[in-house]
Amino acid sequence: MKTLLPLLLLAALAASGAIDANAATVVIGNGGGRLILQVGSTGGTINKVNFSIPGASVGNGVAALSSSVTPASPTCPANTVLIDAQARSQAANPRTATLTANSSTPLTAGTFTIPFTQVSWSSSTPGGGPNGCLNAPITIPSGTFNGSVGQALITFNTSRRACVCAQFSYLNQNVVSAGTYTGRVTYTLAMP
Amino acid sequence: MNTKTKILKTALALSLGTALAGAIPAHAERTTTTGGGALSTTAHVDFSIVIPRFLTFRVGTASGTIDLITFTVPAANVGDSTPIAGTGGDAGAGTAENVSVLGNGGQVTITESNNSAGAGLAHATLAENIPYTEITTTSSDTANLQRPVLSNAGGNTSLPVLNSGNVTNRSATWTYAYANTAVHSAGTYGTSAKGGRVTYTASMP
Repeated sequence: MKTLLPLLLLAALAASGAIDANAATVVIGNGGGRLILQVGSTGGTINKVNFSIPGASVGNGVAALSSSVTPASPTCPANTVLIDAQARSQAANPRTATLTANSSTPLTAGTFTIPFTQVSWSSSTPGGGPNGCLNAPITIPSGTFNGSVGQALITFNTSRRACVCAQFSYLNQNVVSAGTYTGRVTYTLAMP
Repeated sequence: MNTKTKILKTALALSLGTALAGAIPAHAERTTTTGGGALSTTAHVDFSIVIPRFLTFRVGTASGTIDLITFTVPAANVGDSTPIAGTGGDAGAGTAENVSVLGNGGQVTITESNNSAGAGLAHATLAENIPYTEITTTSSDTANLQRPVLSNAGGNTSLPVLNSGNVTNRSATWTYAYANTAVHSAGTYGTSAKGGRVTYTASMP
């Protein structure tokens, strides 16, 4: 409510004709640190990246793009996943935020496994839209999961935003047992 | 003034509402954390990879041509048990066939059969046959990709050793020889028209 009072006053003065609305001042409170991390699109479920490999292509070394991403992202192109990391700190206390991925638990189908080192991604910066990566975000580089607990994807200073649409690929370098393999990658945004 | 105030409040409410709706949408995997000390927040992505069952099997030339292995016995050696190497294969200077089996659905079984109706390789004109037991097969990888022993009746099997899980990925050469243990009438025996075609079938459960 305290925050709204100056705005209401300015707006009331503007409405009465006392001040021409030719300029605006935005005051950002010097609050505590804040991290925002979004991976995926709208909806109540974690995004799922699906790969379907033709029988004639299993293990032939030709990377296969994901066949779909569910649910679809309203911000990113079809078949891609929005990864949006934002970090904020006090003005007098600039800090560094790091986005990491934990891909240490392989995909499994019963007792069979595929390591996440067989999954890579290609990054592109999404356009606008209500949740788009506006204001020239930092691009999270393309890469391949390394199967570790804390693979650093990008480090950036506070008051910045790292954001991409990621298109995932299955590298398909090995003949593996038939089955439906599932697994989960956890992204962590941290600011010490 | 009251009207202006109401309009102003309404406009501000709409404006703030729109701004908030844009800034904080209802994302399940959008996490926010605040505070003065160290901060950390997580979000997830699930992956699914569907690998279908498949089985690839090769014996001899890969292009689809059926190889013809020919054994030519010198007259001086007919029936003297001197093994006669074949020609016409795609490996071992013609004496052998390249064999490979690649599958991912479990234990593969290779079964031999032939088109002689149990009689063996027939003479071109005479009612005389050479049994398939006279044709020997030797694998270059007896440990992992053994050959099935040829027989008139067919049905002998071999089991390639699984590499890992349900995956079989084995290759070898199978070398053929005519055992030459009996004296037979002169002539040509076999070819595909006279019971001389062997069919190998790889199967996976």
